[in-house]
Amino acid sequence: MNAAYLAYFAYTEHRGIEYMSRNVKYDVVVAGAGHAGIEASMACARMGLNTALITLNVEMIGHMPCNPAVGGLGKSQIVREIDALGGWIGRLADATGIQFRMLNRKKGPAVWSLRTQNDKAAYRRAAQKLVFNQPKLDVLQDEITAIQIKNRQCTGIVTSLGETIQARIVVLTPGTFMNGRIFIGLHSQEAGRLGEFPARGLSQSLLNAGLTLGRLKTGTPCRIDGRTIDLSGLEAQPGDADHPYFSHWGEPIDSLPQIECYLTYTNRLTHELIRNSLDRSPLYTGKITGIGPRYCPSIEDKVMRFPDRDQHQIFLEPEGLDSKEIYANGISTSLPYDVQAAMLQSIRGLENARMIRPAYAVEYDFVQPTQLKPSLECREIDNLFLAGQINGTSGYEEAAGQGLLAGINAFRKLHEQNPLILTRDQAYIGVMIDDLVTRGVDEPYRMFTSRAEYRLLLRSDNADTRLVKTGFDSGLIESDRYDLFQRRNRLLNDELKRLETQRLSPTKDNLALMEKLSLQGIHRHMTLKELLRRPEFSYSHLIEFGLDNPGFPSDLIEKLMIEIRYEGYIERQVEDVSRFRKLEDTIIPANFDYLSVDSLSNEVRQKLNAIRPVSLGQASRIPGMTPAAISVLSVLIHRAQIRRGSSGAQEKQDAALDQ
Amino acid sequence: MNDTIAAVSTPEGRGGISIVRISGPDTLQIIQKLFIPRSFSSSKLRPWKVYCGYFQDPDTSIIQDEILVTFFKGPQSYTGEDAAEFSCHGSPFITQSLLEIVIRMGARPADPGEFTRRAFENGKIDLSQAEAVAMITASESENARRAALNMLQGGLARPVRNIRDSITRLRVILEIDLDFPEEAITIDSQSILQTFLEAEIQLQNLVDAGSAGDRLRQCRQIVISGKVNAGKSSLFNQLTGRDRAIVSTEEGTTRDLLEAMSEWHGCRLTLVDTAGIRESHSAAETEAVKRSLAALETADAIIYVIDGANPDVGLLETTIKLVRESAIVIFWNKTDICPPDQSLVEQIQTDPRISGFLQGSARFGWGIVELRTLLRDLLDQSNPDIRENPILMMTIRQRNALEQSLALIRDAGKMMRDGIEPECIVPSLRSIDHHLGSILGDTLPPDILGEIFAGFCIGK
Repeated sequence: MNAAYLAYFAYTEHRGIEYMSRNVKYDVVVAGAGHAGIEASMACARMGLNTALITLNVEMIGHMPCNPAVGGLGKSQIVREIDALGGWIGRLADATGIQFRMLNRKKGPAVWSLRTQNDKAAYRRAAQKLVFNQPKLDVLQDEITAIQIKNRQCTGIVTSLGETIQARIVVLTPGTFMNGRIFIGLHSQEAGRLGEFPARGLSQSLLNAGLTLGRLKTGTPCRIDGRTIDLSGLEAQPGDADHPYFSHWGEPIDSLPQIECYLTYTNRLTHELIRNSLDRSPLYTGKITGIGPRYCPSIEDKVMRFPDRDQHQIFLEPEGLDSKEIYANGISTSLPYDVQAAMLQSIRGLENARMIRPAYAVEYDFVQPTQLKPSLECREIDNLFLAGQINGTSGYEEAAGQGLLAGINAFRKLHEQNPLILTRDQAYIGVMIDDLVTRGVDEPYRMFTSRAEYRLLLRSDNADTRLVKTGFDSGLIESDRYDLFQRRNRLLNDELKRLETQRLSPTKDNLALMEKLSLQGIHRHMTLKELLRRPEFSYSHLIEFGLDNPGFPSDLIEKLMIEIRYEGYIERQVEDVSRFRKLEDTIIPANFDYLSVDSLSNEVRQKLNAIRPVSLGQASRIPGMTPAAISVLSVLIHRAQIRRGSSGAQEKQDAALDQ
Repeated sequence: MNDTIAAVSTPEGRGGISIVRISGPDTLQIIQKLFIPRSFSSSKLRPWKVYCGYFQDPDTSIIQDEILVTFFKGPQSYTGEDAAEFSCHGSPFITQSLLEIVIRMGARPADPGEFTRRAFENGKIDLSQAEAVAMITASESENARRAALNMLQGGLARPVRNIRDSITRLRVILEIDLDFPEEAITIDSQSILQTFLEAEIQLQNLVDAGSAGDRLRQCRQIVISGKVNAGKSSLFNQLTGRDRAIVSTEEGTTRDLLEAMSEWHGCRLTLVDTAGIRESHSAAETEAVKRSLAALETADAIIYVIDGANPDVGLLETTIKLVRESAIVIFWNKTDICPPDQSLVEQIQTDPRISGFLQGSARFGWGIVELRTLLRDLLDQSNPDIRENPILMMTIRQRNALEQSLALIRDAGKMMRDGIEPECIVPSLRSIDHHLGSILGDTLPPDILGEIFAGFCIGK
């Protein structure tokens, strides 16, 4: 033994250091640092829990492995909801956006949807800056190979180095990494994503714990060297000059320069090339068994299923300001490399294009989400939460929404509070989680506005009214922001009240002014609200009549006008919601014994017992449920309630009286 | 707050009496609209007492049948809410028309087991019964489902499915427009409007077929007419087998338009005993005469009674001129008193406007059997609905669902024409789907996204 070693030994003994590098017990360990993992770990740490975020590769925290874009139909609403609850994806996307577009502007506000193109590298940097600066959040690089379970309770995780990390709650957000296998033509290899290791042991550990796993497939198109694309003659797609941001909490400090995307098309020659190569397609030769998303089919699927189409769109989307990589949106494929290269040559503008990365399909394990409670905790394994692609979803926004909810509910579980369950009339996140845990998935689940029954209520513009209070109560919205929200909300309500009471009279002067402004005249006193409901009457017209409210913030005008113009339709949905609520608010006791209800068919009993719905409403949405079964359940639940709070004598009397 | 529900709570089919039960906040209001007590105003109705009287159709003020009414004031009722029971004569037709009126007055057809469910919800249940009641509820729903299926085999299922498919197609088109704005799928607004119109027509046809079935099942109206004191009331009593119209020899005794119902041949017949049509100065009679004339105009068949003891065909001529399409049957009454005047009989029998001639005595029941046979044949022949239009028998719940759907599709089509945004129209289509699904017993919403992905090339 040399002196240096002895000195070191003495030093460690002096400090009491043992030969265990990670002997801390965390409140929460989040495994996976994608969009779900970031939201989950940030929420937990911000709520004060000692949190670890474990990733296979620290450099890849906050990576966008598919298209470099956030938002779009249904998804932008989720981003706004996350932002209102105190999550991050909206702010990250705002700060790293290189193109902003409001989709569906021509339709009503319920379906206006913001979408950004993002600088991928900038997004990663911003995400990493966020997690590395978050107190109480430890970032660790390692691979999780197993979860630790004692008495049906998850107690921690085991890493590839054989180490155990104790945790009171484990949140798994492994994305496509569980037994990931990628396909490029007939070539296939184990990988979480192209060029990244898969997570090999975790699936087996989940199987051992009694969970049922399935296999899904998704894909991503090739990336092209932008310098080899001939943009001349291609249609440019600029962003909107005037656009809102995702976040409710102000514009990003530095915004990035804005870019244009370009549009080109496949053609008959491209399709011919594809048809001739199907014998080397892993999809068509049966090598891929996982089910891919129908809304995001590979180009070979599109060509085969819609043989009449002569062309399909390709959006060319830059992946960043410094990168030359262009994402070829629309030609995701698992065909071999040489076919991909030939396809590009057949496409206008891409004749000389050089691929940087080929398109590939990835197949991965997922946990059928009907095994989860609406809190995203596993029904049969306490303290184990799952979020993101492991639950069968697809998309950064969907993952982030689940991650945030899993994080909030991990905290609530540790503090013995009721879980936060957003309902279908409250948030797209609620629609998504209810769909997942009630119906399960048979393809990667993506949000669409048509999935929401109460779409007119779940708008981007009112995400704050719907959810900021919940975010504040959870400790994820700072009180100054909450105060700001409340102030603005009050201003909005006051203004609505003013417009309801203040009137415009059909005086000579007013009528003359209306004619001058080419507004339709009035024959009686009309409230300002009634006037604003007219399509040609805008808020700025009020100034002309001296009936404006200079104190009202101009950035609230749009929201105000939405409330006014859609009031009738919104009210109708509110009525629908009150009917919906009746079943939704009938809570089924957690220990309800479905199997012994003789008046239910065996099939229905099994289904109910498998899903264990929390409410009569959720029960009614289980596939195969009948109205009769619901009325039986309703009776039995009320019986159980009566039994609990029984004042038997009075009831017997009443019953006797009735007979 | 619950709404008001109604259902026939006695077994289907013919019985001595049937009971229609209602429960909910509008109970008292509904009673007051349709119930005419024998002796005093219905506003003085006291709970838990049985009242005897008539029920009327408040829209036409036509009295339908005798009933007994009991009002139960909540919470001292089976359901714990305000509730009532109507006991009427046990004919399916009478029961059905009572239920229809109750629903027109604002009640909603009850779901299977809903009364019991409300009783549970309001804590009105003996605990030991709960499980048993749950099982009954299940079997009631099952029966309702089977009944619906049976009816569906009779032709309702296919058109309803077709309409539901049209609605789904519309939703698919509107949702593509909303959820996939960048997919370069062009939507021809003209063809959308066309589909809206087609769905509306399909629904209208179905509702029409339903009401035709209803008219068929409801009844053909037969009016007894004739000169004062010709023996109309006696004939009425003979035909209905009841002693209801007041029979006396004093002229103009029948001052009220009385109705009774009777069933022959699976078809309901309403006999309207009109007051004598004659010049009158009495206000009561004038009102009665007005109603008689109205009844003549709407009748499917008219029995014109000739007073055999004092035959006079002057009024017959007036009556024939008053009616346009109804068949007229002559009943030469009082053959017990004197034989018919053969020359007059011949004159009537050869009149092309007369559909049938019988003679007999209402007092002794002579000729009644023949009269019934004749009427039955006449009505069978003259059923325009059977000849020209499809007829569907449907329950009140089914018709209710179709009518609501029709109103919704009209509304939605108008919104579409007015250029209202599609997301405001979709909720109406969703409700229609829900209504149609309830007819088919299929509560799962259609897989709109599945239809979109199957039919359109979606996805970048």
